[in-house]
Amino acid sequence: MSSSKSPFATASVLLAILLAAGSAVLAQENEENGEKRVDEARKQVAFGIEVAQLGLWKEAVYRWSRAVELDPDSSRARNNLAVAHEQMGEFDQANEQYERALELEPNNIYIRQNYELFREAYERKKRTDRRSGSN
Amino acid sequence: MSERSAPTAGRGRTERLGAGVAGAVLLALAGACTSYYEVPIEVPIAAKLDVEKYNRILVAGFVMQTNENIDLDAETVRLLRNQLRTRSNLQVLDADIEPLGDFSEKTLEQSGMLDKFKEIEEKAKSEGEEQISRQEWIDLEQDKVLEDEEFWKEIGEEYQNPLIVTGKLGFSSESRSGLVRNDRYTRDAFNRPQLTRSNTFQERTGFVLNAEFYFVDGATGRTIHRERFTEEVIYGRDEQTSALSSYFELMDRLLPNFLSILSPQTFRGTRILLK
Repeated sequence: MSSSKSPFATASVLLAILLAAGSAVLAQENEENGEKRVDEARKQVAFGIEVAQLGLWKEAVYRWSRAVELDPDSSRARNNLAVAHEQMGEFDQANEQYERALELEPNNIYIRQNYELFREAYERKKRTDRRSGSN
Repeated sequence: MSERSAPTAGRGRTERLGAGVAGAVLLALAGACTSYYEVPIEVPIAAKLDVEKYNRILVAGFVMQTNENIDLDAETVRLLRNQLRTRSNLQVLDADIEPLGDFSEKTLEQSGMLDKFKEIEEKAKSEGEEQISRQEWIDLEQDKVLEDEEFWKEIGEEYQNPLIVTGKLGFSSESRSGLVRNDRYTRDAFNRPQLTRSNTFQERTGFVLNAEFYFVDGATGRTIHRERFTEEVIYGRDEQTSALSSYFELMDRLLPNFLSILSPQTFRGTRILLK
């Protein structure tokens, strides 16, 4: 039995192998990049906490915003960013970040507690704004 | 909780112990997984009124109405001036302004104002006009004083156009006696919690403070902002609280809202940061 294959078929097989290997390498690279980004986001979150504890809230906002850019699914970065916005009186932004954080991690009691306390202050502010607007 | 209500089961104790240990382990695991930091926050809330163009503020006095033996006008002027001195950036003027008017029943009677009202009432009746209540008439009379732009402009000129604080004050005691619902939790023979509801008659007195503050531009005499607050406190028969103490308690509740009109306030709390 002759086992001769056409050169075209051999080339096709080789190309398929090369493509598969290439995409595997790319996937691995993507995964590694993703891990690096998540890792970097964690570092930014941790550093943000350090500066927030020193009262440097603007710097904390920068760090946690960076963390959200690197890892948009980080509920912790979003929770912390919401706290910072709240501290700076930026209530609408705080509300947005708290809500996103709770979408990502609805059962996190710490985020829920922060959000409930924030809502109290937010509602009060909205009532105050409405009242003064009526005069 | 259901295990607690079945103390006779021999196996229950072991199960409870197991559940307790499992709970503690879960809590410890949760604590280990989540690093959190509690931080104090101070949320700034902007003042409602832009007072930048005013350097000075004059608490000019109030029209008042009370059935208690306290000088509402003098007490409030003194209290607000003191508070504004320590909690705002405005220079508080000390000035003796003529009282704006006491519309309390006793004073109206003594001054003959009530006779004037009766005359108006009878005239309206004879002419078939729509009648107004005594309180509506008092409100109109008070508004005449508070919305007299020429009068406030004169005061403004005298004190170099400050921001003027004036308004209406009402303070009264009212009976709040009646049936009060009592909810009590008791435990039955099986140690199950049970809610027991009962109604008991209680003699109580309520003190109500109504304050409507007018902020007047001293340069034009015009009212630029108005805000109304109502506070009430209820005491039982055994609590011997004087009208003056109640007034101060109610003003103490109202003051942060009053001050938030003129100066930025800070809301303090704590939040959790997550690592």
